[in-house]
Amino acid sequence: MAYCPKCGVEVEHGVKKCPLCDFPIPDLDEADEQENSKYPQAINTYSEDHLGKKNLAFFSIGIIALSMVAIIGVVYMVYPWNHVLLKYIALSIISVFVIVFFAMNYLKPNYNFWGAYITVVITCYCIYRIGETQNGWFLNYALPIATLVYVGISLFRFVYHHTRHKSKFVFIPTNLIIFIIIMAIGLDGIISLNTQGWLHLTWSLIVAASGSCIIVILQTIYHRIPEKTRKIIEKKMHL
Amino acid sequence: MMEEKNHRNKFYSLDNAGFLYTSIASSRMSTVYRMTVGLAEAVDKAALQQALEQIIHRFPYFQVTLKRGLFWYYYEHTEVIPQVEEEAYYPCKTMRQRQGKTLPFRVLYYKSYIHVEFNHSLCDGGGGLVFFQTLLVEYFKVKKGIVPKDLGNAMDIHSDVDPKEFEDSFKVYHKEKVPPPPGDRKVYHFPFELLDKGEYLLLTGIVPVAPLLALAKQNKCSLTQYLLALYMESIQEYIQGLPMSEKKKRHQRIAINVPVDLRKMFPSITMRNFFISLNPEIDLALGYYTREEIIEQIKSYMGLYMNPKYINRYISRNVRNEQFIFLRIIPLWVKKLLMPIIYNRYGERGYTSGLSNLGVITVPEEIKPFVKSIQVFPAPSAESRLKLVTVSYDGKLSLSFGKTSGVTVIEKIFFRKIRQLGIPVKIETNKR
Repeated sequence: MAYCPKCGVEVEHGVKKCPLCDFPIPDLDEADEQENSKYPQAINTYSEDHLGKKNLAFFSIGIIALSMVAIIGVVYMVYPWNHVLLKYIALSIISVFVIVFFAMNYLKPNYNFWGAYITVVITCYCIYRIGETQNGWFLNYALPIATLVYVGISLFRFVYHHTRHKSKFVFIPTNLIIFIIIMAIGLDGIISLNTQGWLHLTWSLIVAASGSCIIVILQTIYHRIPEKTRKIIEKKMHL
Repeated sequence: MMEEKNHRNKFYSLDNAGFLYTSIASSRMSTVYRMTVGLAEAVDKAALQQALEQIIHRFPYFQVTLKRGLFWYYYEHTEVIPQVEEEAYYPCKTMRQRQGKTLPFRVLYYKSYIHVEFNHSLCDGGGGLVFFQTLLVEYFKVKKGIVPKDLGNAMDIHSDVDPKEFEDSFKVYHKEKVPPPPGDRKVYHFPFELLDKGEYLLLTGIVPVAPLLALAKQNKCSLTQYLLALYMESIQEYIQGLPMSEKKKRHQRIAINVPVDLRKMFPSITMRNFFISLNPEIDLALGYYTREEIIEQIKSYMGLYMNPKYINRYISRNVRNEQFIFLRIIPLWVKKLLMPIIYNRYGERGYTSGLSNLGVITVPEEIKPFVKSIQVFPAPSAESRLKLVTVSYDGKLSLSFGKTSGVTVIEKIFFRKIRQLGIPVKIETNKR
């Protein structure tokens, strides 16, 4: 019989440490833990089951997308209809399918984000080519905005994964607001660069100012005002 | 034989609790609980399989598969014979019964242990125990040729099936126009980090029942109430030791979900769900409680609320909710999408943890020398990360925790308290 010296409870024969407090239990006769245990080494089948369901969903979507593209291809070849529209439809089906593939999380999250970004850019470029408008919206607007969103989200994820945070109710809103501010400034910049030819921020500054105020309030609630500052405020406000 | 035929091609609509359990089941909330028996020698798979095949005809309402209706799930009788398997996976693993032909219970074995896992939508602990004990008696009949004189709680497999065994007793005993009980208030929940999906840990403490019973008697309360008090005290002690401000600690409320077996209160012999949960609580805003105060609190609470009149408020509310026309006509797939979310948000906010005492389990005298231990484990839950089920057998009480978190701090405090009372504790776990 083996006992935990700290908890005083009896443990199963051959156990290396106390199941309650993890305190190491001296090994007297080198009994095998596996051999004496009441339970087998358990297998977790969750990921397997989950993958099965995911594959089923993905293949159903794949078959639907494939058949739709095939139908449109046939219509395109045999029926003299609006060819540009058919191209748009086929393109949107394919890009939705590719986005679904990345959203299914088959690859590592970073690759999925990168893949989604590339898909959006390529889709925009294809639409640009099909449309044959020559005002350059792809390079002026689509590419910078897609890149901005991609960089913004990557930054948000990086901060989220690499910082210690106790309260998600304060941490996530704070970072979300920072993300919105960056987005707003970026969008405003891109628009002003294209319309006026130079960087001229207007409405995004309002977003930034009000957003910062909310962040300050949130952080103050979380971290509390330092004792010294609180005393000063109490004095000045005659509390 | 005629009787048996009538049960084929038959469908069983779920009982009131079954409706809830089927729609909230997810990978973390498998709604599967486990009963374990430890035998004196290694389990004979062939004998167990034979025993199972011999008793299953007596339980036609258990030999069913879950089917999709337009608005709700239902159980349909099947000719599939349950198969005994060697345990290899985590306990209380999700039953993928929405997808396939799996039965809502499984029989497993490992070394000298037999486990029976029931889906809670099928039956509660009371019904499950009858099946479990019948299987056990039959196993020894096949294996050793023992035919007990007094079957005890086990079912006679040659008797006829009584339709009352699969009635929905909630529907039978509910009353119209009884006002619903007051709503739950949000209480303290353990902030422990969850395990990976699909994992579930069990931790059992085995203690002699006599000294605890004596202590309960000393405090003029029942064993359940005494254990409940110890458990609440442990959670209170845990909160007291947390690194948060005193003001915040005083905001917490601890409530424990205690299921009440209604078969003792109403004359029902149903094998399906028939229980209601009460939530005795202590409010730390009123100050920290001593053990005596907690016992007093629990005793008064149970005294006030554990009577057929008050319990009927719960039964009637649940049945009314089930029959509420606007809820009924929502298509099943919408219910399936929304119910887990709603349940996670509201279903378990009213209690911190659960404690269920299944009482004393006996087996026929003839097979007693071969049965070493009997334990029951709760179903996993994501919101209530730690739950406790207790049963006593042969003078030993097993306190079985089921956890979806790897943290053992509450159990540590709880079992150290029992040790401090001078009662020996033996710990078993499936954690490696």
